[in-house]
Amino acid sequence: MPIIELIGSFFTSAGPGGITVILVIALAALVSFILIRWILQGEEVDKTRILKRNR
Amino acid sequence: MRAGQTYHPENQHEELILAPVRAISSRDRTLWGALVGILFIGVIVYIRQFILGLGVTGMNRPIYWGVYITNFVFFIGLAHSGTFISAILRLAGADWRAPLTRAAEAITLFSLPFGVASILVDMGRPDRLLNIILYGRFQSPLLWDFTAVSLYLFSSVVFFYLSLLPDIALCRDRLTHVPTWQQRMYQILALGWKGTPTQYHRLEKTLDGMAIFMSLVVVTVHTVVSWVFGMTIQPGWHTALIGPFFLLGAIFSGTAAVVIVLAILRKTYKLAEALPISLFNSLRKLLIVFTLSWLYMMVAEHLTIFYGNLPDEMEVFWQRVTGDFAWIFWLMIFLVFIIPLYIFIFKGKDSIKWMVAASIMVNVGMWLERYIVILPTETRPRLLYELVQGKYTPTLTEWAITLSLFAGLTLLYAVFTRFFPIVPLWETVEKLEPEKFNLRQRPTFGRKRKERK
Repeated sequence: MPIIELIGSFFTSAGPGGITVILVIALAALVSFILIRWILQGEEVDKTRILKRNR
Repeated sequence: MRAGQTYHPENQHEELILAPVRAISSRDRTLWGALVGILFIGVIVYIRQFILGLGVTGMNRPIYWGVYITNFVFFIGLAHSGTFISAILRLAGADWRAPLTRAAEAITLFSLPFGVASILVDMGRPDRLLNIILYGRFQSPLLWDFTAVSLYLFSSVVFFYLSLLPDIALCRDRLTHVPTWQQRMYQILALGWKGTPTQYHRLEKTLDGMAIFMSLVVVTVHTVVSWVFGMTIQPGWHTALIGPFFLLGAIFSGTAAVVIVLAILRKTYKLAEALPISLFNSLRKLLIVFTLSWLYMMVAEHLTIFYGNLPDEMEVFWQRVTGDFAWIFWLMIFLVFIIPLYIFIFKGKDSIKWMVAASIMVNVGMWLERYIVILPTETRPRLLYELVQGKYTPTLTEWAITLSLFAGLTLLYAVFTRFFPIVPLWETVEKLEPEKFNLRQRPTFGRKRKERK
């Protein structure tokens, strides 16, 4: 199947759209989870990291 | 800051802002009870509609979209207020927006679910919503709409929650006398927030980054909502201007809604010091720009159609201007443009009452505007208009469900303001005089830190 037809079928077939929606929301959820975790990890652990680095 | 201790920046209005959260009055319970009652009536009416079918509404062939879809567009429009005030003005560096960000974001968060609910109510078979997931194809603007609205709802929740996080922790630490379940709720939602400078710095960085993303999403969402109409070849809808027109109208009505909400909060919770009149004056200037921009869009749209003089388009045009919908059209022009512009320019300065009056008119007018964008085209569709000229009169069922949707929005908002501070405490802290800070403990906010370097 030529590549152009394959790309075209993504837009014209029933099904891929729904999967894409789920993937988009799942990706957003993952990014949000990572961001929230990163923010909350900004506690006073920096000192221990500095100590480890010095060792 | 000692280990294990949580830091909260000092805010001179802390007591004032936390006062509504400290106790729930009998007036609140009465209001909530009334709103739950209206919501309950809506649910009953909907169940009846579900059992009997959409025949109980005013919709008929060829009118498949009526008041429900008007509500959908209106609620999604209202939802633009939060992102506009919080994200777009954040990127623009407009610091005056800080006290009203949460009030605006809450409108976004609580109106979006009712926008989605309007779609479900409009579907005779709501279970068919699953078909979008099971058989979705990207040719359909409905799928674009579903993707954009879902992403916007999710991002709004995260954006709102992140900016609320330090204040939830503050509630956890300050409101020790509240019921155990409420205290527990704060503990869970605070996620162990400590308020360290690193946490604040990372939070600011994340919110700045999300503001860029949210600004892109907000433009996408309402443009895609408009494309549900615009991608058809129906007269009155099939125009490239429909996207920007919808977007501008959404930001316009959303900003006007913020004025109404702020005024109610200011009066009900006695927040005059935390929500100064200067906020209303700043919003007034924005609203003047939006009113004039909206007029520009309106003239550009209608003049182009009139000059083109295409038969199908003119059928819809005359329906709006002199036909069945003329009284709604001209009322809308008065409510959205003529009276509000006069008030914003000549009466609104330093007058909250006038600002609220004009903002209510704008929102009623914008609902009517959505109605006359949708209905005249529905009653005079291309080619079919000579065969079938539709008539549409909304029934009591539609009005009852509409009322219950608005009651639901008000209920969520009213309940939220009694459990969480509606003015962001940590974001307004920078407004304090420097001598009131303990500078050793003060978190270094992202933007400020860069400036110092």
